Amino acid sequence: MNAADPPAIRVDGLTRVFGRGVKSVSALDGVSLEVSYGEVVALLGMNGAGKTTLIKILSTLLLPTSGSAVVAGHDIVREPRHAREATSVVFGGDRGLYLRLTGLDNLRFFGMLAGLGRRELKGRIDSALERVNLTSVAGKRVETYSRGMRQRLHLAVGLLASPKVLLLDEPTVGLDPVESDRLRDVVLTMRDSGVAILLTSHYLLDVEKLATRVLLLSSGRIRENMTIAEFVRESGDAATVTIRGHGIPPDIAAGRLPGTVTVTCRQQGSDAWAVDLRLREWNGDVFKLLDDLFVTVKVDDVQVRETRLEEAFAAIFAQLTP
Amino acid sequence: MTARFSGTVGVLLASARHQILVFSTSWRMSVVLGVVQPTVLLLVTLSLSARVTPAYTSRVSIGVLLTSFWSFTIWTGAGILRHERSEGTLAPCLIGVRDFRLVLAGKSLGASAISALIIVTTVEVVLAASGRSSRVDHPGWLVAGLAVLLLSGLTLGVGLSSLFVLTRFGPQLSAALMYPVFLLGGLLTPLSALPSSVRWLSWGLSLRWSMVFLTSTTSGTPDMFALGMVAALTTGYAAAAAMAFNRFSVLVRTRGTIDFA
Amino acid sequence: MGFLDQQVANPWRVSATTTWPRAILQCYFFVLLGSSVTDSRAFAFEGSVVLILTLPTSISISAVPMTDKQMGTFHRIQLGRIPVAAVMALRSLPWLVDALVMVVVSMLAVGALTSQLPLAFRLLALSPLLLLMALTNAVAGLAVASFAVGRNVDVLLGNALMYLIIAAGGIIVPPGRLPWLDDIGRVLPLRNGLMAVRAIVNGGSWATHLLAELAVGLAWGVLAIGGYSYRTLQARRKGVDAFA
Repeated sequence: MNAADPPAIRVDGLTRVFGRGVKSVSALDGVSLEVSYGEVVALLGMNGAGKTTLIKILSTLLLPTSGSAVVAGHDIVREPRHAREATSVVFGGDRGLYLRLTGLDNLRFFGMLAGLGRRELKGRIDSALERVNLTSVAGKRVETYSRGMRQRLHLAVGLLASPKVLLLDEPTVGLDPVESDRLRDVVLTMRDSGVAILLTSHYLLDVEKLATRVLLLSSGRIRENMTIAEFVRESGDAATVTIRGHGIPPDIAAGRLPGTVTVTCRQQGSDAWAVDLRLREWNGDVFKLLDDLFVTVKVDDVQVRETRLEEAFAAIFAQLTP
Repeated sequence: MTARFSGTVGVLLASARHQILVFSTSWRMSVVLGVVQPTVLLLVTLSLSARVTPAYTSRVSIGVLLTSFWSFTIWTGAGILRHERSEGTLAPCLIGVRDFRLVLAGKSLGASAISALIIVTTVEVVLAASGRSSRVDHPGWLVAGLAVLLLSGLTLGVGLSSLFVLTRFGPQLSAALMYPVFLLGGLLTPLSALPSSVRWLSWGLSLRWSMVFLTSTTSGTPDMFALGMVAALTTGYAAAAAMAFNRFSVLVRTRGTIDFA
Repeated sequence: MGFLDQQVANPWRVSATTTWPRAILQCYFFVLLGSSVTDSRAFAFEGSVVLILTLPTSISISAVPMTDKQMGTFHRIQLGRIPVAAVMALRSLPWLVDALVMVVVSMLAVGALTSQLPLAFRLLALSPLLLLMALTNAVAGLAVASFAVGRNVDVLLGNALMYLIIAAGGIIVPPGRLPWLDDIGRVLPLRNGLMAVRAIVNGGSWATHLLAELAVGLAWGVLAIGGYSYRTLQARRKGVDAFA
């Protein structure tokens, strides 16, 4: 896929209003975005921002009030069937599966719904089960599955039809770290095979590990469209360096600090101290500063903490929220 | 053409099979409607008459079969979409590549077929256990009548399912529709006992004509007019069902009520 | 709490437009069925009217313990000061009211349809007896629910109770037609009360039948108390919700 290829998902001025008159609620307000093949784009937002509404519209479950959306070259309102042929959706959660039937029965039925014939269905099911590591339990009723296993079965359903576009709505909710990692590996494999992936998640680790771009949705509008690195930089800090020592604290005058560094010094007990250096970015001045400041003092411990995405998220949304 | 036909039949059969699997996990309702109800109705109606002839037994058996078949249709067939919604599987069904009308028709067919099988088995067992014999002069036409009945059940299941899923009082609606059809169908009670002002409504019920046709296959000449009425009404139900489904499909997408009524 | 529960599940407008018409039509159906062969319309009318009591009290009443199962709130009741069986009984009161309303509505409507209004008014005067029968049936329904809810067979057993009453309760089948069913009917709610009703209407002796209905109701009451007590004990022993 190259830059000249049309995007897998193109959304233009999409609006969705629920209800009428004074009771109406605007879940999406003029949303525009693009997702290319082989790209993972994360859609972030607080609860109620409109993320699931957007996913439902793109999957043809919901009609927009105005605007347009084209998935794999097909308008989702005028050509919903063609759009569905190219798309898989993974909603996740405890619902959306026939709990009293086996994993295999679920896959057979959903595979049939996805347009697969009997002959190819078996092969696809075996492959999907293997990719999500559920082969050994496929013959058991879904109600006996753990939460992680159900989530993996949801993903297996999404993998059956070899989609060109994959919509993931909070795919790792309720999963432990090992399960989450496994699921992310599958998603990355799909990305590498050219699938366009739009992902919503509250787990910023998903965003960090999977996404190349982040869209920030707030009150139904796209507020920001940025790379992961830009996302982190937007929060203000790239990292915090904490240095602990004892004896005479370092001499930190404001004039000695480069413009990208802020510092706080704390006394801990009668003899110990701690200095927190908040860095906007890593550069040569920072290392020179560290060398100058701390060559003459007694350092006990140095910790470097990269700014967590949660902090970036909280900081950005604090600015966006009135 | 052949591939498309086999694809259509394949979808119908796969959906029917799936629904039978789902059905088997909800066996409790099947026992009530397919075993308890027909058993009690059969015992009660057969013991009401002091003189029970094979012809009477046949007529009553058919009446009980149709009564329970309608109960099954109104509770399980008409509840297919409601059940999908409660499981959270309605959304994945609606965004599938296959035309969901075909899938729903297959599911409804599966529900109708399994219910008919259970009820017929129950009726045969009860008759055998009570030492009653029935009479069927035209078994071939009886089977044909049952096949048309299945189709009727299919169309009713699709149509009612599409209506009931739009309200959260679907179970109450199901309960409310049971007895009007029992009465207007003349299944176990004579139509002549109803007020004349409502009797004409029975002309629009396929079950009424099924009762007439199936009873006619047990003695005398099969009533082909009645069979024709069942077929014609079933065709009308199919058209109404398609409209109901389309309306449902557009409404849930417009209102955004996939997950709740 | 019981009234709130019952109203959420069955708002008045839904009851008036679906549940009550269903009751009327069911009553009408059984009157026509009972009189289609035997031509004893009065006999069928009395039985069919009484049968309506089973709709809220045999079938729907399982919603009382079922709500706690679905919401996972049984442990709250278990830890409360009022005995579990008493809580279930008190929360069932709206269903008793519902049963009486349904019976009266059915009685008058079907009485008009089948030219049995004079008999309907005579039955109306027997409301205290109908209330007793609603109570015995509700107690039986609760007893069945105490066993059934934990096994998810409440719908099955509630309906089975109603159908058993239809078959063995002397509703439209005169006694003696199927002796083995008569024997079963003796321990079911409604049958003895119905015999009392018919005896009063026909000027016969009714006291024995009334006492029998009371005795049957008490027996089912003991079963209900035992059922909920057993569930509670099991919950404490196994450390699970009583209806899990």
